[in-house]
Parts: sequence; structure tokens; C-alpha cells
Amino acid sequence: MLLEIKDLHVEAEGKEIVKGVTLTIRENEQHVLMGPNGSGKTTLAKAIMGHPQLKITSGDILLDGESIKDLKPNERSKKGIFLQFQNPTEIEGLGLMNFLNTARGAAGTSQSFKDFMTEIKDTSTKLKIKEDLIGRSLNYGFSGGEKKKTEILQMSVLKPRLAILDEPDSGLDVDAVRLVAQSIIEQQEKTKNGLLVITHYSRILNYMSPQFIHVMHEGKIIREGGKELIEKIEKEGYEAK
Amino acid sequence: MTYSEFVKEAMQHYKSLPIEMNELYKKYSLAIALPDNLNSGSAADADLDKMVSQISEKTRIKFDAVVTNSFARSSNPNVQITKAEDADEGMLENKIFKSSEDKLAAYINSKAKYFIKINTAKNAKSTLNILFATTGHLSAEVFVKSGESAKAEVSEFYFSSAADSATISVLHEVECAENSVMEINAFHNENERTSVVSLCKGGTGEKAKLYLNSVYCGSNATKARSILDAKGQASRIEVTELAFGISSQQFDIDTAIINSTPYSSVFLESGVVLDDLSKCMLKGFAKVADKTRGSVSTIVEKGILMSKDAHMDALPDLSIDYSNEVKASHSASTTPIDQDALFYLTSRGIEESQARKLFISAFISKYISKISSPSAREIAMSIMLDKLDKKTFGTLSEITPRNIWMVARPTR
Repeated sequence: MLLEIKDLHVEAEGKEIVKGVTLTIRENEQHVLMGPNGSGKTTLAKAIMGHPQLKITSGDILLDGESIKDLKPNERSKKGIFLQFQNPTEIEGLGLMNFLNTARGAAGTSQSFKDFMTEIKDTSTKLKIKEDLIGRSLNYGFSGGEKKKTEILQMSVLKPRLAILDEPDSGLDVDAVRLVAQSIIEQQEKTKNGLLVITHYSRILNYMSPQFIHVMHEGKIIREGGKELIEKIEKEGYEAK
Repeated sequence: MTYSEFVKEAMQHYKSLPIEMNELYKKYSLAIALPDNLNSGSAADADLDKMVSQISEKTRIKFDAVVTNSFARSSNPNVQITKAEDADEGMLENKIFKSSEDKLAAYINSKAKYFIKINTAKNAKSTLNILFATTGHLSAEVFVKSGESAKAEVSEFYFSSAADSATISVLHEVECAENSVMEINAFHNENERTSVVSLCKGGTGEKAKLYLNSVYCGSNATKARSILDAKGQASRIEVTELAFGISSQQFDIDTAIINSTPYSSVFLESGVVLDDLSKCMLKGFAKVADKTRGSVSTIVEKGILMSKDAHMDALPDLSIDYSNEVKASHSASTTPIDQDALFYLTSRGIEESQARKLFISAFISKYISKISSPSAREIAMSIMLDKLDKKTFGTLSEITPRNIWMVARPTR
């Protein structure tokens, strides 16, 4: 057992957004969370990561059987949770390499600096991240696609046990979707991490083998099933019976 | 005119002029003590020599000129230092004339101990480092002039280890000749017993480029005022200012950028970080003069408040006398540390306190990256990071250049 979300209720600015979500993710599993805009997917992802402005009003989040709902985001990260942001924050002046190296240090990885640099280079090459991007400020002036690729690069450095990927495919062209998906799968093969992919589109899922599909609507998971559910949603919409 | 007549006339100007040059900003003006007697606080030359050696060693910079409260010397023919009492008549009259409406300038005219002339030859490329190190009051006038088509980089470093209250007052006059490119960097890391008055007047010739980078880290009170005029057609002035205050440090930074000719560009980018009880009055004024078709004027002021007791007044201002094909804009923002950025950083395992420092150092780095000289950039960043870490300033232990991850400097 890796992550267990039990009847989770989450408020943002006094308004309940997540209204009783229950979900279990084990290692090496691929879960997909779909649903219309505003259904609470991103709020759920941020709540798992510990966003300080979100309030868990009831329910619990367990990692390996222990509650993490009172832990700070950095403590959750150290326990192996990674959130790929839908809209990664731009921080002008903070070099991407400086940031990656600081995050690597915070994670307490035993990886040598040389191996770290090799990994950055290899992953960047695979994702076709332009070399000059590495010397620039974190996400500052990056295109949507560059941001998404950089998030996946961060994931390769941090090697999480549970990766929550919030729309890893939005803003990417067809080739970039394939590269990102391949990198995600490659990392899962290496680390056996659990994956929760939030997406609106099925195209990234063509390169993945998700076992569990969850549909969220108005703060609740209204449908669950296997990969076949994706095709049904494509044809009939999220609320199809 | 003799030196004593000059001083007398300057003092009369000083006493007769209103307290501040710009009435608009009177409410937002930092009152700063201007001592009549600048002779106190002198140290033995040996002590000052030791201080200079320590700074040279720590910064790993061989200074082309050193100015202290007791002596001044230059080892570079491009930097000529004259004791004020030895200045010739033309030099003295020239100064009074130029500063006749400026009370603070008149004060520095009357108190300046040294006149420092920095000249770079036509078509020449020069890099000059000047150290101002003091244990007491120090007043000087600096005249920087680039030759036609010259490329000059002048970095000034200010340190004070005054045991009693002291004032550093420096007046700059900058002339950037046509087609020349000049960068002037000023780093202030005076101790908490020191106040700073820094004035600068500058102008550019045709197609000249002037870059002025000021970093204010030290002193209990800083009053800086600059008036920079793009006088030459198609010339460019870029001013970058950075202040970082902790404890009860106060800054009054007042910069006017003027577009006087067609197709000239003036940019003012100011960044301020304030913690504890520190305060800053940040005044940026851009003037678009008549018949300046194709000119561009931009002011961007940004402040970050790290504590609820820190205070900032940001006052960007524009005066547009010509509206035919000119661009002019101003903006100002003062915010606490971005909570979304903190969440993003902490979600990567970085502790909140470290994330806050990372965010502030990124902000600071953005401004310091404008400095061309890698060593000057490292020193400035190092001083700022130490201040962020240890919450102290103005001590020599803080100047340790080190390998610092910084974003690539924009190309010019």
C-alpha cells in the first residue's frame, strides 16, 4: 500500500471543493483522474501535496499507512510525493540548475554530483529540452511545453515514490506528448513509483497503460473503471452512464 | 577664486537653499544628518592600509585607486586624484556653477576632500576598480568621462568600519561621449554607524550607452539621488538599483531619467527587499522632453516585504512633453513573498526558510546579473547572500567571493 485517500473533504477560501474522495494508489500502478474543468482535480492534487491555503475539513491522506495530512509540503516531498504542477511558477533570477541542485540536496539523495549532471543531460536529451533552458531562470519565459518538460526533468532528479502529474500533456505538440509519456514510463520502470495522471485528453494515455481510471465531477469521484472507460468518456462525455 | 573662497561660497549656497531639491517628494524624503565638521573619526594611515589590504585580499581585486578618510592614491593614470585644497580655480568654479540649485551638492562641494577624475581615452577599453574605505567621515567628488567610442567599466566599492557615526558623501558627474559605452557599478556595504549621501548627474552623447548599477546593502541611512539625461540622439541609459534592508536601515532613492533627444531610450529598474523595521522611499521619475520622437522611457519598481513592519513607498512618475511616437511606461509593485512560489519550492523538498531565502536571492540575482564584471557580480551577490543568511551587514567577513549559481547575464 502506498497512498490512501479516505473520504477526503477539502476547502479553499471557505468553499468546499473536494467532497469526499476515496482513492488508493499502490506502487507501480498507473491511475488516471479525469473530469471536467472545475471538478476539483487540481485541488485534490494540491491537497495531497499539502498546499497551505487548502483546508482538509475531514478525511485523511495516508502514506504507507501513516497520516501525512499535517505534514508540510517539503516533508511530504521527502517522503516521496511529487506534484507536477499544471501551471509551474516562474521565478526569475533562480537558475534552473541552482534550483535542481538545491532540490537534490534537500531530498538527501546519495547520487554524486557527476551522476546528477549526467542524469540531467540524459533526461534533457530524451525530452529534447534545449540546452540554453538549463542556464535560464526557473520556468521564466518558458513556453507551456518547456515548462511541462522541465517538470518531468525535476521528477527524474527527485525520483518520487508517488508522482501526481497534473495535465502533463497540455500545451504539448504530438511529438512532445510522446517524449513526455515515454520519460514518465521509463522513470516508473526504474523506480516502480505509483502514478496519478490528471488529464483531459486521451492522447497521452495512448503511450501509457493505466489500470485505473477515475472520473471526478463536482468534487466527487463519480465513476471508476479500467482503460476501456477512456474510450467511453471520449464518446459519451464525463457524465455518461 | 581660492579654495577657502570656494568653500565659503558653497556653504552659503548650502545654507540658503531649501532642504530638498524636489518639492514633489518632500513628504517622502529621508532627513539625514550632515555634519559640519568632517575631521572627526580619522584613523592612523597604518590602520587604513590594513583595512584596504584586507578588502583587497577578500575581494581578490587589485584596486586602481583607493580613497580613504586619511589618504587617497591611484596607481592608474586614468584615475587622477587631487586634494580639494590643491584644485585649480577652473575646477572649483565649475563645480559651484553646476551645483548651484542643489543643496546636497552644495554641501558636498563645500566638504569634498578629494576631486577624482576618471578619464578613458578615445576608442580605448578600460576596466577600473576604485575602493572607498573609511573609518570616519569621507567626502569626495568623482568626475567620470569616457572618450569617444571608448568602452569603460568603472566599479566602485564602499566600505566603512567607523567606530562613531560617520557620513560618506560622494558626488558624481558622468559624461558619456558619443558612441562610447560606459558601465558604472557602485556597491555600498558600509557599517551601521555610517550614513551615505550619493549624488549623480550624468549625460550621454550621440549613440552612447550608459549603464549605471547601484547596490545598496550597508549603512544605517542612504540618500541617493541621480539625474541622468540622454542628451545625445539615439543614446541609451539603463539604470539598475537594488537595495536590501534589514534591522532599521533606511533608504531614500530618487532617480530621474530624461529623454532629451529623438530616438533615445532610458530605463530605470529598481528592486528593493526589506526585512525587520527597514524602510525605503523609492522615487523614479522619467521625463520625455519636447521633440523626442521615437524615444522610449520605462520605469519598473519592485519591492518585496519580508516582514510586516518593513515599509516601502514606491513612487514612479512620468512627465511627457511630447506625445508623437514616443513610448513611456511606469509600474510599481510591493508585495510579500509570493506564496505560490513558496509552495512550489517547498513541494520539491526545500524547507520553507530555505525556500524564502532562495526566492529572495533569485530576486536579488536578477538585478545583480546586470553587472558585467564577473568578480564584481560575485562580490555583490556574496555580500547580499551573507546578509540574507546572517542578518548582518558592513563587516569585512562578508566579502568572500564564491562560486554562485546565477542566471546568465543578458547580452547587450
